[in-house]
Order: sequence, then C-alpha cells, then structure tokens
Amino acid sequence: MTLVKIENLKIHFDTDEGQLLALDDVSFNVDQGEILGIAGESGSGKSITAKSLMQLNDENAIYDQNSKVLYENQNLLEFDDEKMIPYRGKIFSMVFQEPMASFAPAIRIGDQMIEQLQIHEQLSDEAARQRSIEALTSVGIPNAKNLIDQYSYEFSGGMRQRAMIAMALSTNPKLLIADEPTTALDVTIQAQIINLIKKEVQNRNMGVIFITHDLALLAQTADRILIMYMGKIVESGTVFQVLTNPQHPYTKALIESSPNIENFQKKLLPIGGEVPLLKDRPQGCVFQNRCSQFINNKCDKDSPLIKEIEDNHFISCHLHHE
Amino acid sequence: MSRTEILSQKQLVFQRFKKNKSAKIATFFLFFLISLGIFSNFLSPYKPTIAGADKDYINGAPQIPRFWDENGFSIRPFLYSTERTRSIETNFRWVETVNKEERRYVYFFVKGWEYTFLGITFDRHLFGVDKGQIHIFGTDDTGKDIFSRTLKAIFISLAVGLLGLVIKLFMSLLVGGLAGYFGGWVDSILSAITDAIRTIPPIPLFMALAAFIPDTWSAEMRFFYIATILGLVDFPTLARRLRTHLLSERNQEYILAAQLCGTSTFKIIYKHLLPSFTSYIIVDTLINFPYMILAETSLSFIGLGLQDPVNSIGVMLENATKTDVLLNYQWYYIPTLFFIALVMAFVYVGDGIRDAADPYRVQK
Amino acid sequence: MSSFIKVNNLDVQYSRGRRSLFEKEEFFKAVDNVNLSINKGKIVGLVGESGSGKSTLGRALLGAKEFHHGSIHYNFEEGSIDLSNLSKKNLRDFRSKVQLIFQDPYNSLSPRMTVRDIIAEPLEALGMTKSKSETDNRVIEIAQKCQLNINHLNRFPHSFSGGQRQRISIARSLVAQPEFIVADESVAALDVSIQAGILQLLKSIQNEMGLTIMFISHDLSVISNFCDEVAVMYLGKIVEYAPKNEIFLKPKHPYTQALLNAVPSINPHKKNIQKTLEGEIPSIYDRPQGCVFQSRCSKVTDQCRQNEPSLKKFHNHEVACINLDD
Repeated sequence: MTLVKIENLKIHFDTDEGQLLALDDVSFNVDQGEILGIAGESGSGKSITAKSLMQLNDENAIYDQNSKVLYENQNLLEFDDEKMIPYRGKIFSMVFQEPMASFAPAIRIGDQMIEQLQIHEQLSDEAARQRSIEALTSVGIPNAKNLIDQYSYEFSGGMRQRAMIAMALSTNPKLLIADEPTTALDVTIQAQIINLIKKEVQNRNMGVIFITHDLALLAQTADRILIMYMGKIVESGTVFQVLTNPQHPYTKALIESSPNIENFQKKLLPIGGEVPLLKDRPQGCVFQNRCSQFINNKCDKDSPLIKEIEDNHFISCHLHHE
Repeated sequence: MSRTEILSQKQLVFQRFKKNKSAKIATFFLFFLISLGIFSNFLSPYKPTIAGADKDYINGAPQIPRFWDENGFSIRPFLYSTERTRSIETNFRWVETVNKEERRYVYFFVKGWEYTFLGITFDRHLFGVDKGQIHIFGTDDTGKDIFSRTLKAIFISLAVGLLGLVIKLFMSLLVGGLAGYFGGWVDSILSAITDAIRTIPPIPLFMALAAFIPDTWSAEMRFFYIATILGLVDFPTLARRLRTHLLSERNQEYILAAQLCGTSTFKIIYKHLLPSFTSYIIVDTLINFPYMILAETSLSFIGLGLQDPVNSIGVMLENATKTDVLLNYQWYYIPTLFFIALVMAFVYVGDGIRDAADPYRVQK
Repeated sequence: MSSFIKVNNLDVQYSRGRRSLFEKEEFFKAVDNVNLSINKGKIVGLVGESGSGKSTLGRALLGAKEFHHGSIHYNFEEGSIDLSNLSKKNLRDFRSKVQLIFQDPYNSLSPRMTVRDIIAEPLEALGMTKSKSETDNRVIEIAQKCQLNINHLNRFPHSFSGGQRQRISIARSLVAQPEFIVADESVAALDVSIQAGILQLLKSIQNEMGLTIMFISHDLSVISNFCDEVAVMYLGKIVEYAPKNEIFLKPKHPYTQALLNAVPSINPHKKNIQKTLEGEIPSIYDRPQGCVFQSRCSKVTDQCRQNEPSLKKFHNHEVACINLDD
C-alpha cells in the first residue's frame, strides 16, 4: 500500500546568482513495509528531496506550484508550520547523519526524548519517560533506565545513533527518513544499525527512505532504489534490477568506479569531469558532459523522458528512447 | 608548449583592487588629502600659528580671487582690498568694507615664511598676494588664516592618529601574538588584562587619562602622550582577534602540512598564519584609523587633548563652538568638511582593500 | 633483504589531561607495542575502526608525533635515519623523503596561498631549488602529472573542487620526490566516482616513482582494491598482517573475519551482513589485560584474558591470536 506519493517535486533556490534549479521533477512512491534507497553523490539532491517531505529546506527554497507531497490524499507542501507539526516527528520521523549534531549537548538524552514525545502525544512526564526507556531498550541500549539520564557526549557514536533511532521511533511513525545514518559509523557498528532498522521495519510495517552514497549498503538494505544525479532521478527499480542490470550510463559508471571487496582485481574506472555547479546546469540531459555514450545534438538539446524498460524499472536516458 | 607566467599574490590583489571603482576614487581622494597635509607648509601662504596672524583681517570672511569685474578682465586672479571699520550703522561691530578700486593680485610660487621639509629649508609657497594677505577660507578671531591652519591640522591629526596606530598595532601583535601562540597561562594572564581594559568605557577612560596631563608638559610631550592613550585604549579588540585567530589556526591541518614540508616556525607564522590575518589587520587599521582621529578630535574639542600652538582639527573645532561663530562666522566650520572627507576616504579604501585581498569574496 | 621501514615495539601515547590542578597528568597508549616491517615499493594498507590507533601510527611514522618507547628505522637510498635520534640535518633530509597526504581537502591547503605557492613550499622550505624559475618548472611538472590545469596555478584553493584539491595535496607531497608517502584517509572525503580517479593517479605515480605508500583507511573495499599488503589494527595493536589475497580470502584473526563480514556486498543476491559482531568497541582508555579483542570475540577463552598474544608468523601471514582454526 502506498504511504507517500511525491509528484513532480521541483525546487529552485533563490541565491545571489539568481534562481537555481536544484530538484527537477522528482516523482516516486514509498510503500508501507518497504525500504526505498536514494543513492547519489554530492550535489545529487538526495538530501533536499528528503527534507522536502517535512518542508525542512532552507527559506530560500521555492517549490514549484505543481509539486506535491501526497499523504492520505493531502498535499503536505500546502501546509503551514502549524499543520506540519505531526509530520515532523510523529507521522514522519527523521534520523540524521551526525548523531552528535542532532542531540543538544547541554540537555540530557532522556529529556529530549520526553520533549519529543510530549509535543506529539498527550503524555504525562512519567508515561513519556517510560516510553523513552522502552524505546532505548528496544534499540539495544543496555541499562536504559540509567543511561537515559546521560548527556549525548557520554554515549559512543553507535549508541548515539541508536538513541536517535529510538527517539525517531518512539512516536510510532508511519515513515522513517534516514539521511546517511551510518556514514559516520564504524563498519561493524553500521552492520548492527542496519539490522536494527530492518528489524523495526518488519515489526512495525513502516516505510523507510534510506539515503546514502554507498551502493553496497543499499544492496543489503533496500528493496527499491532511486539513483539521483543533479536533482533528477536517472534510474529507479528494485535493488536487483538496478544493481545487477543497470541501464543508465551514470548508474553503470558509478558501479564501475566503486571498489568491490569481492573482486579486488577490478580496475576502477573514474567518471571523468566534475559535477557542474548549479548555476552551470546544462541544457538537455544533466549527465551529458561526463557520459561515455553522449549523442550529439540530442543529449545536449532535450531532457530525456522517463521510460519503463522492464517491469517497474525506469530510466531517464536518450539511449532507451526508441 | 608556452611557458605560463605565475602572478604573485600581491599582484593579484592589486589587480582586483583596480577593478573597484569606488575604492579607486576614494584612494585618489585619500592621497590628495594626505598630500595636503604633508605639503601643508608649501601650500599655506601664512604660518598657521599666531606668528602668521593678520591683524587687519580678524574674523574675516573667505576671500575668493576673481578674474573679472566691471573694471575689466585679468588673467592674474585678484582680490579687493578691505578696510576694517566700525560705526553706528554696523552696530559697533567690526566690519570689513570692500574697496573695489584697489586690486591685489595673486602670485604663484611666492616667497614667504621659512619652513623645513625633510631637513631642507624652503621659503617658497604655492600662492600669495602682492599687498596684504589672502585668506581663502577666512580668518579666526585672532586673524590666523584658516586655510593654512586647516592644512596643518590635517597633518597633525594624521600624525597623531598614525602614531597612535603604530602603538596600537605593536601592542596588539605583541599581546595577541603571545597569548595566541603560547596559550595556557600566558594566554590567561594576557587575556585578563586586555579584557579589563576593554570593559572600561572608552570616553571616560580617555577623559580620565587626558585630564592627568600636567600643565608643565610641552606640546610635543602632550602629543606623544595623547597618541599613546589612543593606542592603549584601542588595542584590546585587535589583540583579542589576533589571539583567537592564532589559537584556532595553529591546530589546522595546513599548518601541520607546512611543518611536514620542513618549513621553519618563523616561516609558518609569516607565510601561513599571518596572511590569513593581514587582510584583517589592514582593514581594521584603515577602518579604525578615522576613529583614532575622531577620538583625538573629540578630546581636543573638549579641551583635554592637544592644545595651541599644536592645532589639530579638534582644536580648530573647539574654537567653533560659540554661538557667535554659528551665526556670523560660518567659515570656521570648513575644516569639518575636510575631516568628513578624510574619514569617508579611509573607509572606502579600507573596504576596497579588504574585498580585493580576501580570496573568499565572490567576484562579480 | 633488510626492510625499508622497521618499527619495533612502538608505543605512542597521548595525554588525557589532569582531573584537577593537583593530580598527575594521565596518559593512555594509542599505539601499543607495535612491530611492523615494510618493504620498498609496496602499498601497505592500515585498516581499523575508531580507536584502532592507525592514524597515530601513521603520524608517528611521519615524525609528526613523538614517541617515547620503541624505535622507527628507515633505510633510505642515501642512508638510514632513526626517528629516535634525529639531528637537525637528518630532519631536513627526512622531511624531503617522507610526506603525508591528508584526509580533508578543505583544511589541508593554506587558504590564502596560491596553489603554486602551496605546491612549491617543500622545495622552498628545504632549499631544493636554486632559482624561482627552477621551482616554477618543477611545480608545473608535478602539477601536470597530477592532472591539474597549469593555467589555474595562481588561484586560491577555494576555487577548486574537492577532488582537485586532493590532487593539489598530492602534488605538494610529491614535488620533493619522496620515497615514502603516508596517505591518511586520503579519499574518504571524496565521492566514489572522484575517488577512483585519485586512486588511479596514486597508483600510476607510485609505479613511476617507485614509491612506498602506507594507505590508512577504514574503508575495506578501497583497501582491497588499492593495497598490496594489509595490516589490521584494533585498539592500538596490529592483530593481523598479510598480503592482500591472504587477508581478504583467508582471514585468520576473529576480528578480521568479523570485520570482513560486516562489509556490505554490492551484490543484492548475497545478503551478508546479518551476522554482526556484537557489542561496542571498548574505550582506548581502558585497554583490557590480555587480548585486546576479548570482549567481543566468539572464541574467547580464559587464556585470552590473561596473556596478550604476540604476532605469530605463518609464511607471509602474521596473526596475533592463540585460538586459530588451523
């Protein structure tokens, strides 16, 4: 069952250099019980997409009037701050990359979790505290009854991330948005956190948007993936389709440039050139100046349309247009 | 393969500065004003002190030379003669009556009073008249030529500000540098001292320090003392900035990189730590310089700073506080215009240099 | 053949500060009794998680962190240098022969120096060139090798992208023609597609100049691709050291095995990270007696808690564990 439907999300940023297009017609769904991965490098727009669901982008973000974030048939982009409150922590919840940054350093972890709960639900202090302790225990933090009164700096990186996930899940959200949640963690701790997230998805039947640059991580975690480049979704499909049968030149190039521990003789092929600055966005396909299969007079003229190349496997490329 | 020329940083900064129109105009203006001060002796027809006073033209209005009148055209500019009279018709006030028949011609490069410049004695001045005196900005209540005094005042104000600035820089670099580079208890002690100075409100502090000057001190000693006060009261802010900057920057990776290249400690401070601060020092200096002048001007204005015969703009403005002046002798305020122009020029030049020197500034 | 770099019983400690003005300063060991031997021309990977001490070991090898116990010995072409007793002259030679490539491309370049000056700095500081034009020529030469646009050499670092800045960093470290390079997480801050280009550059330059490289990283995939030999560190100790094939295909130490199991596979048909290593990485302040890995090891025995296992050599494969399968 579809949980959230993002339609034609288009965002400009108002800057000194004029209005720059950051997200170009991004559309996708997230279903209940599914982990949707959004992969991309810097400048791909994946974080902006995630923040759009909660209207957390900077003030100079201009949403196109046709952009929609649909939840239960309502367009969340039309909500003001007051109406957005339940979507910031209750129905939608978010986990960030830097666990140190998401906990206020001078407030105890427990107090922050209780505050979060009481904003969204009518709970007494005692009840909120009890709920928080349960949440911390369920994410594997030992001795939660005592540790709940500690400060964030007293927790290790992995524990902080667990605490953040606990806080995000304590309100029983329908959708969890995780923005690079394990990038700052050691690999053995990362594995623990991933397993934790997968277990919670199963138990709660919630949807997850998992943002990362690490394709291998998505191979292990996600059900479906979106590959983003410069504010556009260039390929989307199940994790099997996209990673074992990639069709878009960027997806292919990204996989070829990724080192693979199971094939260390592999020659890594870098992608030549650089991601253009926002103000130098090219006309036509965004990937044209780095694409090995560039077609003159086509890729630099028209933006490719989205085509379904196999069941629910979409790409946006002129090569597959006929 | 052609060889590419690699420009040095200074050249790049200069190029960028040249592109900034308002800064360029301000620089020319600034140089012009400073030259007025430096060459004040040459440009002034009369001695700015009481020695050069014109007793026949007291509180006189500005005399602008003209080229033409009913009696004909003259290539050489001239002035009319004047006479001081007073009578019942003028309410017994001394009034200058103009005699249009008698002309006094303006000459250039005339001989006049002696002065020394860079050790050599000169006696030539830019302009003068054949009879009597010429006062293009008018005179004050003792007959001193305001034009000559204004030019000299620019020089004095700049000089005392410059000396104060040198003292401020020296103190800031010393205190801030030591505190920032060594940290620890050195920093604690030095910071406590600078903070203490900072917490005292500057105006009362200035006034208190200046009021201590004994009457017996000579004008020169007074000059140095005022300059020292200016430097001492103003140095804490810059010292603190430098200290903070050094404390944070010395742990940066690029400093470690330089150390691993084999760069000596002195070179590291000079090449890596200071340049990131130089633009700040330059801008801070240029932007705060007028405040130094202003501080001295304010002190002199209330009588606590420099005094006659050393006249700065402040001293001149002190004379202009009487209502009499406001109503009748408005030309006393002409030095104010110069002061405003000087301050504005400094500010624009300072902005221009900061913009040009800062590599993080987005160029349009 | 004597090795290029020999590290013996190295301890590197950091200060933990004082609890109060009246108590003694406390120290803790970031690197604990490490023995290592590196051969010329090899790319050695140093891998570990937080608290492993890999960065500290790298810094010690560079002479950027002092140590009070053990020795680090270099056999350069022109003679040997012992880091425990460096004379002033030796230090200069050392600096020209051993260089570092930093992790952070944004912080490791002096923000108010032009790229040309940044790259030229080692030459000028060590007095290796006799004239400005000679310096310029060498700068241009190395910049071209690193695929930098020589027309941009008079710009400041902020006008370059992350990947380009890393190239500048590499050019600076190579301009003095060193023999040994420590690359400390040098590609960690870069996008994968850019990372590949930097690794390619490093490999080709290593080949061309006969460099020995120590590549410090937490990213096992990169290490598996780039390095010849790998040392695995945990809590300040080297627990395993072997050539690439051995380590990745036949890991012996329980920690290495767990580490490799935790690396996600890009093959979605192969779900591999379910069996995770439990527990947290212990604090470096409280290194346990006995084996450092005892708190998380599935094969732990009483002997592990008492005696610290030393690195035992099996052909070319060194492991510090008493409970090996073979």
